[in-house]
Amino acid sequence: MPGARPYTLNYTQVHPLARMLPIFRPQMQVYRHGERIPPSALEGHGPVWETTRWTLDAFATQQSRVNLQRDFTLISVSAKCSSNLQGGFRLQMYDLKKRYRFQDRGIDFGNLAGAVQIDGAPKGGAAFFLREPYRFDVPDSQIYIECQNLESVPNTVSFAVYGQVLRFNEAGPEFPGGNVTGWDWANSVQKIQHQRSEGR
Amino acid sequence: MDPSLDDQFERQRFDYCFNNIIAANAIQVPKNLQILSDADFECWWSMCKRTSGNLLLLLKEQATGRDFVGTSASGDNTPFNGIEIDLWAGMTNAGAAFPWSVPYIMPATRVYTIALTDYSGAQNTVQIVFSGHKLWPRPKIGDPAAGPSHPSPGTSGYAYGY
Repeated sequence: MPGARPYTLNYTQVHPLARMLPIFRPQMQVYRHGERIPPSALEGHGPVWETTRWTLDAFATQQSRVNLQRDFTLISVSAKCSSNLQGGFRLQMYDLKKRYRFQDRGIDFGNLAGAVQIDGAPKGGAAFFLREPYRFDVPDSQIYIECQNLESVPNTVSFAVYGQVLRFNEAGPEFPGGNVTGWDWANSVQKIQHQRSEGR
Repeated sequence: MDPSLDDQFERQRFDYCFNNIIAANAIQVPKNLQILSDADFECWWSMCKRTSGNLLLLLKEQATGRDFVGTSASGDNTPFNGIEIDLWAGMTNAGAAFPWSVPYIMPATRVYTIALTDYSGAQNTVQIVFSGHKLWPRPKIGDPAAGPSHPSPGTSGYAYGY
């Protein structure tokens, strides 16, 4: 019926790894032992932790910009702060290239990663794992982070994102305009295709 | 197991332990961990026990120069010395494990440099554990080079000898 759809899906983000995990039985599917290549498009990737640390004055706000390596795929976030009497801090994160925000407003420390005890005080955050990984697949992607101290005393805040990146010596999605990383594109592709054909 | 998911490796549960004592406020104290030469290692978890959580970590793979901890941003003007150990190795008061959602294969004999920075102001005793599996190629049935398919106890086929 014309006009029945309240909005179009034209500009809705389609997650490239949305089918990495099935909707049901996620835990069983995530930790399937015995697979060299997990059920995702992350073949040839390796782990990386991008971390940012601020020393914030009372109620102060600071920003940070994280340059990501190629094809960074966000899997989890975790955080820690030196003072957590009035909520610690709040933080908002953006995908700069896609102009996408991860929260509609700053999310409190306790909800961001879950405050847990570290050295006798609730200053650490359990790692929060995304249900489905988020892929920063646009070249030169950046994470922009805005962090506000909620304490009336100076607060040292550490924030880390864990994810997978394409190895810098692997062939992969390249920048528009050609190879800028220096490796031999054609031979790298042939080598990987050869490895895959041999099941390695 | 689903045959289409079988990668023809047998997995042996294994932990690589890394111990170090970091002097008070020492900066980027490097120490190497080498994967044993008998098999590749598939890392699934990182764990740490430390005296104080005021400890930063950098991890580097020597053969490739790969840095596992990003150094691209810092809100501080202070030098970047790595990730908070508790954010890298799991939360809680010294002990939780952090799962590497996608396991990472550390090739045999490869050297990993772990540089630790203390900012607790006191000596920090650290143990880091990489937990995972050794990967042993499974001999194919009928392959004469692999020996008998069902070796008796004591047979020294390398795939069964661990």
